[in-house]
Amino acid sequence: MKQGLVITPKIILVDDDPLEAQLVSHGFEKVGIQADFIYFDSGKRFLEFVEQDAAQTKDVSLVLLDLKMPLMNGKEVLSACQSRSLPKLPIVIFTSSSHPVDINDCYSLGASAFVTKPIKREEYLDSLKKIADFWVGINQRMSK
Amino acid sequence: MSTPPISSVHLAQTPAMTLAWKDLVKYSSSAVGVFDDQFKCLYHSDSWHQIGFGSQHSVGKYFFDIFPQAELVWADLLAQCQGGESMKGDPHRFVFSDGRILWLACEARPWKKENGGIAGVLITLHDHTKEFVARNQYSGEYFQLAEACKLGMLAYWEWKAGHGMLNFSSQLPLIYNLDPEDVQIRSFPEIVASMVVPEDVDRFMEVRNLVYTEQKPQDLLYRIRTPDNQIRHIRTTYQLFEQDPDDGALLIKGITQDITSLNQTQQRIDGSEQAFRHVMAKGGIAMLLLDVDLTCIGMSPVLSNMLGQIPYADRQVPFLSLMHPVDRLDKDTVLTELITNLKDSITVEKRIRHAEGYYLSLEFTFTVVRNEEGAVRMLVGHVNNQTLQREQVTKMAFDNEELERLVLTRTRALEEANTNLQMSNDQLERFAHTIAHDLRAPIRHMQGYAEVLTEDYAQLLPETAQKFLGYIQKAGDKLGTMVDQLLQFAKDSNHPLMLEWVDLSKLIDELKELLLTDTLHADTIDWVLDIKARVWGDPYLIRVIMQNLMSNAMKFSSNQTNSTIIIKAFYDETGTTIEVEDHGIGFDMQYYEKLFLIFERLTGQPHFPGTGIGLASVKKAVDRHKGRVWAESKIGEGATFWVSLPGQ
Repeated sequence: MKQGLVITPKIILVDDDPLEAQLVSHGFEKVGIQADFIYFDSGKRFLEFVEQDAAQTKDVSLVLLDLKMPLMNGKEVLSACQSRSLPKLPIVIFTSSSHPVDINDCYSLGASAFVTKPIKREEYLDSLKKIADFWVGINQRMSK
Repeated sequence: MSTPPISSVHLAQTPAMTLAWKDLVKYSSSAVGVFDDQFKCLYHSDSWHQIGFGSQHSVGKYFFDIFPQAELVWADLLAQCQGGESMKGDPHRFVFSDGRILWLACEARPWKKENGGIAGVLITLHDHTKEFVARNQYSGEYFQLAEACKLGMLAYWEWKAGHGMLNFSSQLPLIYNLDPEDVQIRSFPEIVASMVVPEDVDRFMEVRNLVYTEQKPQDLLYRIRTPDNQIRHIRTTYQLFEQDPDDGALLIKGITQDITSLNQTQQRIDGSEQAFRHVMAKGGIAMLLLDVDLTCIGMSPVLSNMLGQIPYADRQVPFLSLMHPVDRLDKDTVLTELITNLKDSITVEKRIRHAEGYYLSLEFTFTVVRNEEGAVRMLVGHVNNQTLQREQVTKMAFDNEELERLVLTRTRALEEANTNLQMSNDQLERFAHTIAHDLRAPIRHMQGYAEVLTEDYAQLLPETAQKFLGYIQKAGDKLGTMVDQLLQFAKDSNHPLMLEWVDLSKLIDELKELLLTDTLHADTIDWVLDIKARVWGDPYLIRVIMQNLMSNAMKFSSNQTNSTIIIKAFYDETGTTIEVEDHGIGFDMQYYEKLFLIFERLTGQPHFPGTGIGLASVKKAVDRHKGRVWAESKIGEGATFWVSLPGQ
């Protein structure tokens, strides 16, 4: 908690690659987003977390979910969230894929947004900023 | 006689089994008859006739009509069998109307339907006569023939030499139309001899002498003229020769029978049969005679020729054995119906084996021949050869079928090819996306972290380290480009070809604009365009071709003294040829073979970046149009590329 009464937003990162997660969190910081980052290196761990304690998930502003992960991929995580009636979280798919099938599947499985990772550094940072501004902002507005 | 090898008497349900089962019955060495639950004969073994039922066909008749003598003896046994029990009786003596005496044992087993109900009875008659004759058990009883004589035409007698008739049945005088007193007198044999018609006298005397001298059983056939002037046919059977135990005189026992009506019928039959056989032999008609058990008992020479066989008249083959195996199966429904009196005539088409092994399609029209009592005696079939018609029909059907099959096969192959193509496209696309994800991620990390270093920590790094950091970033960029181009190349290779007319001038103008922003020093290029053609091709792939050729020309022309690029295009009826000429650095024709290979680069100069994919993409796109691409160059003087694509 860095700023008085304002609650630091929670952002969950789900990606099998810690390098990617760190790049994302660094990117968020780079564009000025202050947040507590919770990192899960598999969809299974993320689901366990959500299932264990619904209260913990209350103040989660955003989940950034990778698509291509071993054992349980992003779509499977989405469908598990649906079928186990877990608390509704804003899940943004952040992936290098831009395949229309993936996009379709994810939205129909309840993803809040689908964002393809831009290759160029500036665009990449820009997309992170836009994601955070929207989702973190909306949560802060709603909590007030 | 042995019991037929039928282990389980069960009505086989399948036609093939039924057929096999029927054959088993038919060729059984025992007399086997298959009867329904009302004891109506369905069929029987060939040996059935040996029992003595030969003169009257049994199929379709009730057992006790076929064999009336059995009713007294076996009625209970068969009734029990009808109730479901297998029964076996002891041998019993039977006298037949023709005088034969047989010792028969009856074995009766129920045969069952699929659901277990009684379908009928299988009757096997075991002939024990030989055993009983051997034991001579019946000699003393032989002449208690009252029952046999009730049959009317038959008389038994017992004659003693020197005494005349000791004993005779009441029919004997009737047969000769004499008074009983005449029979009783000693000279009875002479009376009979005097009645014999002149033509038969010699034979009559001869045989009778043989009887007295040789004392062996004899049949004597002769005609007599009765006192009322009738001609009668007589058969006298001298059966037993004994010696009177008292005085040693010869005793002869025998049977006399009036066979006149039998003979007359026989003659009539002989006459009509003669006529019939004449028709068969000379009539020029394909004809066939079948016995009730479907044995072929006669065939006209026309039919024999048709089948490539010698006439079967005296060979008696089963009709079914000539038939195509598949065609045997409906035997039950068709021919049996005919035989079991349901129909008088029937037309069937059967494939019949020619002697050389192939089959003829023959149409048989069978007509039933009945005896005086209405029982089926034989089937007469006349035959039409349908083979030619059938072959034509079959051939037409075959041609159509073959054509349809061919179309189907081709369609399937096409569908399969399509599916495979679709699959390889899908797989490739999946593959491309996998690569995109798997390769791009580490590249992006490389670039990302290098960026972070530059942005946040540059001031902490010595100058050399910063320079090296720059190299890492450049390598990362190049790797990223290569991966992207490789993906593009793979996608282009599988891009479905959609041919149409492509406006080349318009395309080149567009590309000039596009490349202007992408290529260094592009604004220094002098363009000379001479486009007198449009191109018949896939717009996307034509674009790939032109974009690569143009960007190459631009790339290798930049920073050169002459940066003129000339593009010409012309076409005739064979197609379009495009020429792209630059005055750049050129390449060594020594390595021409490597020019269009993927990842091959013919220049090592660092200020001409490239991945070695561009010209490979051009070659691929041209190949897919079944066109040709070639080039000429001199180092330092420039290069010219030609693309030739076929017309519409």
